[in-house]
Formats: sequence, C-alpha cells, structure tokens
Amino acid sequence: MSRPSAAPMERAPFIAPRHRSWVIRLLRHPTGAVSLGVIAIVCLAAAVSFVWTPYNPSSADAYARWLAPSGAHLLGTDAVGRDTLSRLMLGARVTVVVATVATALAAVCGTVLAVVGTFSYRVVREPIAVLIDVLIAFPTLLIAMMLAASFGGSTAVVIVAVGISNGVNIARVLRPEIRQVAGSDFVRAARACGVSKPGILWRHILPGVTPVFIVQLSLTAALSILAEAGLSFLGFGAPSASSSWGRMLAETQKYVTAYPLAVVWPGLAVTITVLAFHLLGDALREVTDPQLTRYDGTNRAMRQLRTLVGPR
Amino acid sequence: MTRFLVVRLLNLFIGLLVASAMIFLTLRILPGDVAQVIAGTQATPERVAAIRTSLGLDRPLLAQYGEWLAGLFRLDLGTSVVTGTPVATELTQKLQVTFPLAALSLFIGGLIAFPLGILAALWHRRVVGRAITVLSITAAAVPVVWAGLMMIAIFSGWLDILPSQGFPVAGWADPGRAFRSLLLPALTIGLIEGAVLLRFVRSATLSALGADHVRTAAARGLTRTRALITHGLPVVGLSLVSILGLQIAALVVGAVVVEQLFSLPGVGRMLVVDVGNRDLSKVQSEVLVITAIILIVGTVIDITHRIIDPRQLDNEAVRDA
Repeated sequence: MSRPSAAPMERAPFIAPRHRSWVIRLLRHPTGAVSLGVIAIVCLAAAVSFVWTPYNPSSADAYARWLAPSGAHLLGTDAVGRDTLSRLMLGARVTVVVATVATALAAVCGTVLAVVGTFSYRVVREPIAVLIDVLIAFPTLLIAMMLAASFGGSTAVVIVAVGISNGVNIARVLRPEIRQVAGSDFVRAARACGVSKPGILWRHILPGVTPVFIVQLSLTAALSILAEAGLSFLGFGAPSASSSWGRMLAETQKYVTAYPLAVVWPGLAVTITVLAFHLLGDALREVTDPQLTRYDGTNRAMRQLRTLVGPR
Repeated sequence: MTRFLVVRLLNLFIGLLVASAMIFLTLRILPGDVAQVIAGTQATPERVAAIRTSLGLDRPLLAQYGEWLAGLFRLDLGTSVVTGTPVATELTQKLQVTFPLAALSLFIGGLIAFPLGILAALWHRRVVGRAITVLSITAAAVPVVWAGLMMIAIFSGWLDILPSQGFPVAGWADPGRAFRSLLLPALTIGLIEGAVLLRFVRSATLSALGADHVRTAAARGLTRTRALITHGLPVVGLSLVSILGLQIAALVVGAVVVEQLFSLPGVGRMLVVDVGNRDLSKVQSEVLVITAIILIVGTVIDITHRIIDPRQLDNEAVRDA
C-alpha cells in the first residue's frame, strides 16, 4: 500500500533523543536559569523555615507593631508585631506544597483523560470529550467554591480544585498532540515491529508529547499559586491561623491605606514566584520544542557580550 | 451553516445538562448538610430530621434533581433555605452590579491590550516593544487581590480621589457615584486581563506581519504599518474573537475576588456569602447560572466567529470531507 509522501503540515519527526540534554540546555538558558533560581530560593526558604526563621513567626510583640523595614526586621512587622520575613518563609511552605501536589494531581488527571480520551472505545471516548468541554467552563475558583460549600475551606480544597481544572486543561491541550504523534510514521513502524500497545504509548507517544506537557505543568504551578492567594483571601483556602501568602494579603486588607508597605511584601512574593513559573514555561518551550532548537545555550545579546569581552 | 448552528446549539444544551448534573452531584453527594446548618449545632437529631423532611432533602436524589431541573425550565431558581427569598430576584438585582463591572473591565482591558499589543509587535525589536512585553508578562503574574489592594493604597489612600468601598444604596439611580465606585474594581480586573490579552494581540499581530498577504501588500508599495492596518488587522481581530470567549471565565473569577475586596453587592459576593453559609440549594443555582453564562457566551462567540470569518467555511468543508 503506497502512501503519498509526508504531508507538509506534519510536524518534524522526533528523531534525536534529547531527553538527557534539555535539562542542561534549560540551565544555560538565561531566563530559564533565573526562574529556576527564584523557584529554588522559594523552596529553600520553605525548607529552612522548619529549622530556622529570623524570629518566631507566630509570637506577637505589642512593642514592635508596624515596624518599618530595618536591620532587625528586614521586611518590618505586622499588626501584632510578628516578623514579616519569618511569616513569608513559613508561607512559602504552603506555596510549595500547593504547587507541587496540585501540579502532580493535574498531571495525572490530564494524562489519564487525554490517553483514555484518545485510545479508548468510542463509548468511553465521546463522554470524555463532552466532559472536557463542560469542565472547561468551570473556572478553578468556581470548583473550589463548590467544594468549599460542601467540605468547608481548606488547603486541600485548593489543591483538588486546581488539580481538576488544570488537569482538564492539560487533557484538552494534550489530546490533539497525542493524536498527531500516534499517527506518525515511527509509531506505525513500531506497531509493525510488534511493539505492544502500552509499549508504544510509553516509549514512543508519551515522550513525543513531553515538550507540550512540561510547559503546561509549569503554567499549572503558576496558576495554583495564584489560586491559593485568591482563595485564601476569600476565606476558602488556608486556615486563618496559618501564614500562607494569601492569608497575609487578606489580613493586611484593613490596614492598606495606613500601612501600604505591609501589603507589598506578600503580594510581591506571590508575583515573583508566579512570574518565575511563567518564564520557566517560556524557557521550557524554547528548550524542548524540537522545531525551535536552534538554541545553543547562548543568545544574541550574550554572544555580543562575549565579543566585547574578547575570546576566551 | 444550518447544520453547524444545530450541532452547536445541541452541544450547548447537552453541555448545560451535564454541567447541571455535575453541580448537583458535587453539592449533594458530599457530606455537608443544609438541614444541619439551619438547625444549628445544638439541635437534636429529630429536629434535624424534621427540617430535612420539610425541605425535601430526604427524598431520592434523582427526584430532587428532576425537581430542580423542572424549576430551571420555568426560570425558577428556587428559594434560599436560609433567608427564604427567591434566588432569581436576588440574582437579577446583583447582576446590575456585576454586569457593568465585567463590561467596564473588558473595555479597560481592551483599551490597554489592543494599542499596546500592536505597538509591541510593530516595535518588537526596539526597547519600547520589549518593555511593553516584559511589563505585560509581569502584570499577568500579579494576583487580582494584590492589584486591588495596591489600587486602594494609591487611588483612595495616597491620592484620595476614588472611593474604595461599597456601592451607592440608590444604585444606578445615582449614575455618577455608581460609576465612580465601579472604576477602581474595573481598573483592577482590566489591568490584569489587559496584560493577558496583550500577549495574544502581540503574537497575533506578529504572525499577521509575517503573513504572505501582508508582505505582498508591503511589496506593492504600502508602508509596513499601512499594510498591517489594512490587510493584517482584520485577521488579528478575527483570531481575537475566539480569545475573548476564554477571557469571560477570567472576568467572572476576577469579579468574585474584586467584589469581595471592594464590598460591591454583586453576584460574586453573593456566592461567597452563600458558600460561607453552606446554603447549598442557592449555591447550586448560582454556580449553574455563572457556568451557563460562560457556556452561552462561548457558543455565541463561536457562532459569530463562524459568521464573520469566511475562512471557517473552508475549514468546515475540509472537516466534512
């Protein structure tokens, strides 16, 4: 059976096994390295907070209320005299947990929905397609609020809501990609060689969609941190006693006109972390997309800089 | 075209039905119980059971779901079991705040996104273009709460020119004050949505700049800007119509947070209060109305896209073949 030569719309075949090298290329990518650095700092702050914080983050001090940033309190203190930096470090734990668990949940949900929704029998496939279309209309916040109406608010509600809504989104993005890879010649070849269906899925199809997948994961992490901030502010996220960044924003609401600086820190923490995940997503897209890999770890500006400095 | 319309509307109907079933199941199968909430923590089990019977909560789930659906077809969204007021009346009243808020936010977002996005694409190698891009990426990472708090700190704290809390009791009978109280909230959502939208406008414009027909127009003697305006922008506009559908969901989410922050009596705030009260029957109707709005707007945008974009007809022919 002769097939017409490859259609021009087909994407470049996944020939070169780049799995080992994209991590290194990411580290050499300027924004990739910087955003990874920021994320590492947040994780480190969360880890260090278990053994050390500048002050006890929950001890109130009536004589140290609303202190401006100084050598003693690097980011100042809040309404009851708690050290802001210490609380931010404690809040980083919530952020790290929410981002990690919610992203993992979304990854599993998304992959299962996409794979089952592509390869399963028609009676399973069609309902999944409808389900994905409908769930897209439920924003994370709405899912979280429904769960909160039943269970009451908690960090778990945030995680489940982000996991479901972003899992559906990942499935929606992944499905056409999987279909495209599944239709390519090397998958046909593998099938002709007698590779089992799970084997084809695991060895050939899933690696083919990895670039799109990890970019989506990075964006999911960013969205989960934003969702945590919003939901904690509304009172459906972290419990009121905790030091999550969203709770800290909610607490400062009353004092925003009197002490605007106190509002700046938690908001800045959220923004910088979210930005880091966004930029990581962009960098990952450049580094992992086989069609974009003309990237050799340097960019034009860097090369110009090198020529100015002279040859090494 | 007729076939497309029928299929699309049928899809919308099925989507609404599935959404209503999912909302109902999420809110009923899970353990929270309205009867327990109404009776209070001190109530005897008998009292709770009596309330449950009077509300019809002891009947089979399918019967309850059927009753709710039948009510929806009569535009009856049920009554709040906590306050006893009909949900539909309250919802229409609250929409008078939320709808103008969403419209104003979208307008501000568009006002930011379109000129700056096109500029960022035209000047994508210059400093200004890059600065716009960097700013938009940063603004898209800002949580809505924080943007709102900063707006309050700047415009009502420091400059003291705009109100930060509440909505006039007279409502739209006092249009000037009503508008002023919506301005800061709308600016908050508009800035962030505008930043998100800007990235779409920029990449759509960039791809239009590289499109063959725009290059041909430029080769025929038009300047690059002119070629973009006369030949490229219509295509950009079309691709953005479909993006707007996705932004509606973001507007709803923004409205919930912002209404809480600025104490606006809108649908979002109502939902937050009802979720806090665990008024499940009310929450279920409200969530369905919000989802329905998102789904219906999506369908309308899809259909409009199909009508105004002649290329879609070709796609349809390809897909049917």
